[in-house]
Amino acid sequence: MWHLYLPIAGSSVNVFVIFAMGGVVGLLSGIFGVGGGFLMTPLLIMVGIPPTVAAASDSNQIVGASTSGTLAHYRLGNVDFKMGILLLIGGVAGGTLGVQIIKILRDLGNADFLIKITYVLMLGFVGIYMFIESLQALRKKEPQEVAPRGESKYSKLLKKLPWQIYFEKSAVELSILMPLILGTFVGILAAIMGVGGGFIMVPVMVYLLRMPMHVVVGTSLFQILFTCVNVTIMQARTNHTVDFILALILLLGSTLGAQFGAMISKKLKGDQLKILLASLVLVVMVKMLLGLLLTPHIMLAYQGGH
Amino acid sequence: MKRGIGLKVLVLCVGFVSFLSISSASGVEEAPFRIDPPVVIIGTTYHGSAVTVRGEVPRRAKAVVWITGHRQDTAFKKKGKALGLLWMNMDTVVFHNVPNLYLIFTDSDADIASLSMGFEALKKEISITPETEDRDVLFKEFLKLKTKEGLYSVTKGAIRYEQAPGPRKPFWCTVTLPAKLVPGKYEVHLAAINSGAVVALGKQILKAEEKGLPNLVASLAYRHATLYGILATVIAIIAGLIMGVVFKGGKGGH
Repeated sequence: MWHLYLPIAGSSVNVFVIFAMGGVVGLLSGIFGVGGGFLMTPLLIMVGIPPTVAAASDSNQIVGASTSGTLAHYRLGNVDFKMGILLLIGGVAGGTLGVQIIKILRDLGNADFLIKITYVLMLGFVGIYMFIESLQALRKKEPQEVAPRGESKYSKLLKKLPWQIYFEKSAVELSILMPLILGTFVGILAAIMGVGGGFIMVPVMVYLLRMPMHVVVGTSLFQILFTCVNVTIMQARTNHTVDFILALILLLGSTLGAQFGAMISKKLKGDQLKILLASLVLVVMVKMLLGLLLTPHIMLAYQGGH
Repeated sequence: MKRGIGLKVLVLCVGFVSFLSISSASGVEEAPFRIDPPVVIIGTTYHGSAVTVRGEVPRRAKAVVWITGHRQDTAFKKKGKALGLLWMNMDTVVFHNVPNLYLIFTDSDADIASLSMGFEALKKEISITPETEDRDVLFKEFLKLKTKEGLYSVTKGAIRYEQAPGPRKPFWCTVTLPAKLVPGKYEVHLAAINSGAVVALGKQILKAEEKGLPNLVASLAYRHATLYGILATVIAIIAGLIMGVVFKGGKGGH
């Protein structure tokens, strides 16, 4: 009962399971203030959705999720459009490239492997980083003074790059090459992993583009919205892997979950929850890694991403 | 020229007479049966389906029902270890003459053996290229994959007989079709087996059709892919905006 046939995935799913998955990811998103795209695709894979369909449909879901977010931040004046458009140009180029990579690997029969290995690496990196950071934050009860440092090599490199322009909203001067290159990188990951890339884009904006935090989230959402629009259309046209019914159920679940998450987050301690999220991310990573390390139950797979 | 035509007519006549004599000697009769429903609808809530096969076989015979789909060549990737560590898809192997559905319902292995059916018989019908590959190992993995998908199975004890007077006995069998059933035409066969010999045969067509939302989505996604992609994003944006208004500007997961 309550099964829904997904013609793109070629199988049926339990609506409540998918809705609940969207809800749980949305809940985590609301509690921790991070995007849930990087958890959604692995969870879909675990319930039997083919990895290529899971990643493409998740991109479609992110289009809806980031639309409301972008609108809210636009109203607050927290979107740096100049930076966002440059990141977007890179994101569209990267997304298009990523879709073509998936197409080639799908024909060769290894798109699923690339998606899984990229997830293992990214989840491993993010999970370990979050775990260590929140552990350190729990241990440090008093804030320590940070000694002023001289200009870093990275800062010097940034100044040497050509085509420097000033971004008023973010109050930084940068070469236009930086957002273009970083946007391309995130766009490739968005296509391969089916994520908006917020969990990479936010640290990139803070640490590499030196943008102030209040502008980062709004601009990231703006860029992600259009990157995922491009990825969704490209995946639909090139790989026929977008299941918008699946995306809509996930969107409904994640939006509701995010509201509850936001309420819960006000009542709980941040660093302890961060460790829990890091643990969850690492559990998902280990599950996917085991799938790559342990001898498969069946030694054959359909060619062309079945 | 005239001699050639005469020879062909003679060969045809001999062939026809031989066919008649073999049929009458083997005594294979028509086995009547019906399928309910004759068309399976793959609709929005499709999660596999049950079809009932009802018919009659001679009193002393046993019924065997089997369903097969169209045959095609299917390419697979063999799993292998990359860098001696991670399992990934490696070499391509092509299985030829593969039915896309192969479900058998019987009382015993002996009955399907007398029909030259079952997985061992199927193994002989399917060829694998390149021929250097280990057929036995590959076919075993192929069967694991197909049975896991529910597309291949041999179900024993599936035939139920009813008590009735007369030379024929009625039977029925519930056929469970998998969730991964592909739209198309399938052949449903009935054979009556008596002491290892086939005494009656019958064949009907079962259709599987996508209807409603799955049909609309599939036809849009494959025939008008760009339009489908644009529609998918527009619907997601509208849904996102509605969610934003309902929940007054949720930050949205990404």
